[in-house]
Amino acid sequence: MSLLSVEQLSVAYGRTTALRAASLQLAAGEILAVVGESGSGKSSLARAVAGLVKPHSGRITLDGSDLALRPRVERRAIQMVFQDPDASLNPRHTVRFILDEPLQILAYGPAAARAERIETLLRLVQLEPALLDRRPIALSGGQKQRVAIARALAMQPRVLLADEALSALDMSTQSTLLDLFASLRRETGIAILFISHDLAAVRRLADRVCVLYRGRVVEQGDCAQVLAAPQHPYTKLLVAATIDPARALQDPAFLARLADGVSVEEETMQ
Amino acid sequence: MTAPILELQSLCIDVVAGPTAQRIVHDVVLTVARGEILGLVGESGSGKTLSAFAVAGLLSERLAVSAGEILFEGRARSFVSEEEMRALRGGRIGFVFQDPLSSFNPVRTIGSMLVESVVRHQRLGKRAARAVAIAGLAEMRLPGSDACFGAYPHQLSGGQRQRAMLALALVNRPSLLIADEPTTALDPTIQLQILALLRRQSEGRGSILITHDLGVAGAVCDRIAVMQKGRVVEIGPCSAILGDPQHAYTQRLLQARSHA
Ligand SMILES: Nc1ncnc2c1ncn2[C@@H]1O[C@H](COP(=O)(O)OP(=O)(O)OP(=O)(O)O)[C@@H](O)[C@H]1O
Ligand SMILES: Nc1ncnc2c1ncn2[C@@H]1O[C@H](COP(=O)(O)OP(=O)(O)OP(=O)(O)O)[C@@H](O)[C@H]1O
Ligand SMILES: [Mg+2]
Ligand SMILES: [Mg+2]
Repeated sequence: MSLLSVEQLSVAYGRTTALRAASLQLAAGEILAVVGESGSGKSSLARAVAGLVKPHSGRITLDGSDLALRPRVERRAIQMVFQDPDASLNPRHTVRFILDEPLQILAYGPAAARAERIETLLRLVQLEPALLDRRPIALSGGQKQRVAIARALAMQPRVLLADEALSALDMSTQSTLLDLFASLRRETGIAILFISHDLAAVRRLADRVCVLYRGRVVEQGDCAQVLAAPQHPYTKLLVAATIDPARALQDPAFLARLADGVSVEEETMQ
Repeated sequence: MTAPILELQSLCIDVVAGPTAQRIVHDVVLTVARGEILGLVGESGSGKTLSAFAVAGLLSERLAVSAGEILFEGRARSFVSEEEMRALRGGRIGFVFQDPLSSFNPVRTIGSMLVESVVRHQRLGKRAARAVAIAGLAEMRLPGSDACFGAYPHQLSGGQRQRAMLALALVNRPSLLIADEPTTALDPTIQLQILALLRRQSEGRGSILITHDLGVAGAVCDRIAVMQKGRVVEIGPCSAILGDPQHAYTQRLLQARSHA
């Protein structure tokens, strides 16, 4: 049985429907990448799973039981790293407090044990202990992003929703964190919903990939397979755009194709 | 030869809040010529954003330029008043913030911020400014419809917000564009279109593109500067930096990229 199951989930903001009848499954220890056009509903999907927006319709289950019917504390098993780290880091708190808070909520142990745990978490995300007494405003973009990841991991979630969680990191740090995610899922069985625009990272990390386009899941399957032989016209464009950006930029015909996007005919052919 | 649009002469930035000043950016020397896109890449926390903030006069009061000089269009920054600086920002200097969510005014719609900026810097009437604003959004592949023009920043997706920020930075056709990780929230199909646009518009403008994506840097930049621990450790034409990196840190970055 899958750990997390999203069934026919729709999310709307007033009259804007951001996600239409999306279904996906996530097993323990599995990494599912979610890719898609900007504005296609990826963050909305994650926010609904995290319980931050109320689904318009559909169901989200954890271990087979409907999350909407369970006590709120069970949501702790699902932690989200937000696309904008500023949204999740309280500007008044120091990094130490931000990381200690989840440990206190978990009743992790006495102060000394928590301090040790905080140090471990920092090391995992490659941050210096010197940052502990700073507030988010005195951190760089990538440092904030890593504090947000450490905070989510401090909760010992069973499901991690990582929304563009590595987007501000230099390639060498990014590489370390991809390795971290891979080893966590092996060692702890954590399941990860990995939302990303970076197909190279997706290729390296994910087992399966789900493609969203205009609020719908248009393609889903084995990661290597989908990226090697994309079926939906948007996925085809996406893969083509990542092969050689320098060349693509020199190619007016290709740029024109991108500007045209996916035509209605192409879409209905599916 | 025409003077560079921007020149940083041994720029140093210190944290001045504590009992002793602590240096976080050391002796940065850079120039940006007219028509040039300079890529600024490097380790997370290496000082890319703060160097850019210093140029645009955006450092918080806990930080200060402690040595060196910044020349914008030949004029030394130390002779530019705070008021003049405010007039330059959003006008001749366009700035794309790394965190669009926290740098937008949350209680203003995207459209009203754009219109206000066009009215102020181009001295146009409201109606004409509105048309310019909508064209600016369209250029970023955002609909000028109420869905975006009338939206508050939190009502947009991450990538839509990033493009709205780009529209705001570019709407007055600045002579210096500083874009701090401007495409991190864009999927590759839209990212390429935006990069092509930056390239097309770069004539007559000096641009600094801060990015951790070496693919992006290689595709659009003329030269690349690599920062580590508050210093520029290597600078040169794209082909040299990406093809034959000299500094150990640059070599490590390129290695990480080929592993991805
Ligand atoms: N107010 C402050 N007090 C102390 N240190 C600060 C302050 N603001 C920033 N720093 C530190 O200065 C260094 C440079 O920060 P900066 O934001 O310029 O990095 P960056 O190169 O843009 O990194 P990233 O790629 O992660 O965004 C970082 O190590 C950061 O922690
Ligand atoms: N709070 C909100 N109010 C109104 N509309 C919203 C709100 N949040 C998102 N939307 C709209 O819902 C759609 C989906 O947004 P979402 O943030 O889920 O996209 P996304 O796939 O994460 O995009 P990106 O890759 O750009 O982050 C977009 O059209 C967006 O404008
Ligand atoms: Mg998003
Ligand atoms: Mg930065």
